Amino acid sequence: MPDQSKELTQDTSIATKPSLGKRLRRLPITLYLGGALVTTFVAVAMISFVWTPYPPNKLNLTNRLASPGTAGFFLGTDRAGRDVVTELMLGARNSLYVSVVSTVVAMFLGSIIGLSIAGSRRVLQGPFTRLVDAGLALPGILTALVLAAKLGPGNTTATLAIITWQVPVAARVTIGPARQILALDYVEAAYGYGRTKAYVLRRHVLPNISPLLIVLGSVMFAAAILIEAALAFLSVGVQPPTSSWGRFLNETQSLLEAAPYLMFFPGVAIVLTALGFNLLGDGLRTVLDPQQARTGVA
Amino acid sequence: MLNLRNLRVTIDDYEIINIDELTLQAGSRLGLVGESGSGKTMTAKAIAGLLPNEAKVSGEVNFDGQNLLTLGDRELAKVRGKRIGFVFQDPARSLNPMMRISKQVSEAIRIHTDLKGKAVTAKVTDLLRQVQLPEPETLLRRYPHQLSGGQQQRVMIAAAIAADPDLLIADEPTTALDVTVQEEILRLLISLSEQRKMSLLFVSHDLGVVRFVCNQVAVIYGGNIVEAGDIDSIINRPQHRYTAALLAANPGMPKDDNFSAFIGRRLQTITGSVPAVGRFPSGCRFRNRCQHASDKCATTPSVTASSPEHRYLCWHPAQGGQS
Amino acid sequence: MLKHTLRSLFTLIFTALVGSIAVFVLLRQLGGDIVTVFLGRDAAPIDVSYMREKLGLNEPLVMQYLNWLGGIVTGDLGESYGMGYDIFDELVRRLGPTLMLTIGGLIVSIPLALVLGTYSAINAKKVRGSIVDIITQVGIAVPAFWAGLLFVLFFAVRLGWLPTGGYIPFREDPVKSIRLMILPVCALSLGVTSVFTRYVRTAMIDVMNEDFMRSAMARGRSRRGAALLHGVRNASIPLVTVAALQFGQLIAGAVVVENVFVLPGIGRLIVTATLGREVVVVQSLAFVIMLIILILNFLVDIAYGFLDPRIRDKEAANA
Repeated sequence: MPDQSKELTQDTSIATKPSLGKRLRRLPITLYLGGALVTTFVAVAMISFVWTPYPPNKLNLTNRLASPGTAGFFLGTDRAGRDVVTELMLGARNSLYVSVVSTVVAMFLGSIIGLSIAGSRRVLQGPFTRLVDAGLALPGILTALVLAAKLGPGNTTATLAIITWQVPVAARVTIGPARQILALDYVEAAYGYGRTKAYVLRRHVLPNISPLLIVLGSVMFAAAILIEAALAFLSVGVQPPTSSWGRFLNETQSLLEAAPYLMFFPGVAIVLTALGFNLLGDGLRTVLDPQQARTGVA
Repeated sequence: MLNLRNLRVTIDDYEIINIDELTLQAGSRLGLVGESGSGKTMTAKAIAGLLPNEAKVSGEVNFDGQNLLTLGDRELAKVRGKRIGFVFQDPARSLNPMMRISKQVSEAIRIHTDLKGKAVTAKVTDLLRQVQLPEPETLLRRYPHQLSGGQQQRVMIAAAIAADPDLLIADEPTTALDVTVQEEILRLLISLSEQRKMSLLFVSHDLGVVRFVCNQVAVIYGGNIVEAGDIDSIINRPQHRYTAALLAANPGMPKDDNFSAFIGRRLQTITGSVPAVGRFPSGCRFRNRCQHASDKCATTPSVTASSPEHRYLCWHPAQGGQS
Repeated sequence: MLKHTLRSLFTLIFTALVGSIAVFVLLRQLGGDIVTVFLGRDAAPIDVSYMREKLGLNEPLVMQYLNWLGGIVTGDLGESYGMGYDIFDELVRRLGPTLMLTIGGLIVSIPLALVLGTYSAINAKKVRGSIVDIITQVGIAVPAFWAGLLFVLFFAVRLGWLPTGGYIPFREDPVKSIRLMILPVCALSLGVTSVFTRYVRTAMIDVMNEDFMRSAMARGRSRRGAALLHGVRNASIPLVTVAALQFGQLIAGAVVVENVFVLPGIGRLIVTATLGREVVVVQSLAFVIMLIILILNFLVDIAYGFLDPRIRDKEAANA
């Protein structure tokens, strides 16, 4: 028998941890781009609470449809003489409000539902998942219109509609990974110690899927922004005098001849903000999900 | 016919493979033995040109005089299937679940020959017969999930030899199969190799299985070939300490043709475990697990040949350096 | 196969029923009374009770629900209180433009997405693949109505190539009809194609990492050959399911696009009805749209059963 009591030589470790600078550089570019756009958006929205170039809804009737670059109006004015920059900032504020509320609530409800389904009895899981799938297939706009018909157009309706639409999304995304984690050995062991299912879901599953939820949140935020804009465009969302990018775009439709450039500003704002959140979500996914990466031939 | 020279594979600045020299003679069956993490599968992939994109390769993979590493994608595709065939580990995952058996087995034929239609079907049926599948005609239109694991692997083999390659590389072909089926598949490989005069590179972690199938063996550890040569010589008189340890972990290594005595045992009682990539010691990579290591082992051992058929790299060989 | 179809059918009926109840209850119970919502709070009691009578609101809730469901089958959904049109007739009339728009969107986006997505997956590591990735990334952030406005501005107002809006039924004048549809379909397809392309790309990349791709290459297939011959086939199946999810998005986009291009479709109808607080109209419209989406999903589900050999055989094997 070989002498096993002999001290084993320690391996000379060759690998070293890369420096902070190197690690920062390895982060995906989407994370930086997305982060920059999102930060800009949030900053603009927050600043609008304390300062805008002009007071909200201040009409400058002598300066209607001024082109960008006119004195005092960096991006021009709209049909009623409102400063475009101010309108954009206020629109950001509204988008932020609606999106934050709806995303947070939807994620909260959705993940609870998803976790419950994942933790429920096997027999029940199938039908419930199909229900969630059915909820997924229905477009949010439809719910929004239904709610708006009864409750009246407005921010609240829009927020409710977005929540109703996004809850199945959050639930669906949660179910799969939650089930996988519940099937893990160490989780099953927890039951052996006497832990309840609720505890397991809360303490084992939730922390493990939180990277996923973070990414999901970012993507849902982008979707919320787009829907809020669409609803405002249709006059089903936020109502005057509150500003919104969507409503702004609606007004520009009749100005295609008179001031064609106007439609660019709110449109670009929407695209950049939604893009920012999507990129951020992408970047976060790459960073937080270790399985992402190689796509060469196996 | 196959000769690896100065083959180095690095991924992310870690050296995965470093093989100075490895040769497979035409017509012989060479076993490449090592634990998981030893680099044996990577070596097979390097030969096939199927390494992940991040891998950097240098050196020579000489096949019939041609260095495969210098070939572009298109030329390599002409070699694969036609002159080198491959059998992979898990047949359930290595077969396309949405494609019929006949289409997959005939793939190499359709790529590399001009045969069409009925001629192809006839050849496929014949191939299925050669791998000892019953009622091959009915199997043609089946899908992989309708077959058992052993049958699936036979299909893989049929597909691999379809275009009559000169060399067959098999990476752990029986590891995912039931023990009862393993012997049949291994015997099949041996008989195919003999009948078709086809060389075989057999990658495995199981020294017993390799003893059963091959006549040459190369032991790989930490991406290095530590001992290579004629199988009997190595099994009976192992020189490298790692080889010796492998054999010691496999007591009662029989020398006859009775397969049941060879049933693979996992390598168990070598102290410590294979270090992660990048954490191997300098010099002889095995020295931190070797009972006989000394300071000299911090320098990479040079090749010693105890006979023309038996090379090893060890400063403290088990047989004391004599054959 | 049969079991699979039956299960899909059951899901369809079950979901449709649940959906109808949800819509119905939502619209009755949420917020105020339907009549008050429409007529306003200061409406004269006589008008209120007349409308209640007319809309059958004095019957028990369950009766109202059943009457409504029955009406969908018999084609009697009542009238718009505000505008006086027969709901069912109007629905049928406006089906044309919406269907043309939606189907046009499907025809454009699915093949385009398949091609772009596969191309992007095969060239994933090269610049070419990344360019497609970037374009689609922007594409999913562009709202359909803005795209519509941009198209109108450039192609209609500035360049005058195409008209700004309006609709002609296909039967009347095919060429002109299609000409009028080009911009709306493009606006609608932009977002959907982008989303779908990204799915295709991911699915293809996943498939290309599968072991059987390695086997194909080991037999002599080039990377591209393996991707096209093995990858596409295998990826199509999960993609079919994903495509079904896009129907909802297509309809949502159609609603908005119809408003931009003034197309007399269901989308415009439901928006007008919503703004007019015509709960009864919206109720039926919403349900019909939901039904269309569910039926489409059902059809896709059945197709899925045909395509995947494992499902096809599982039933036979277990029989």
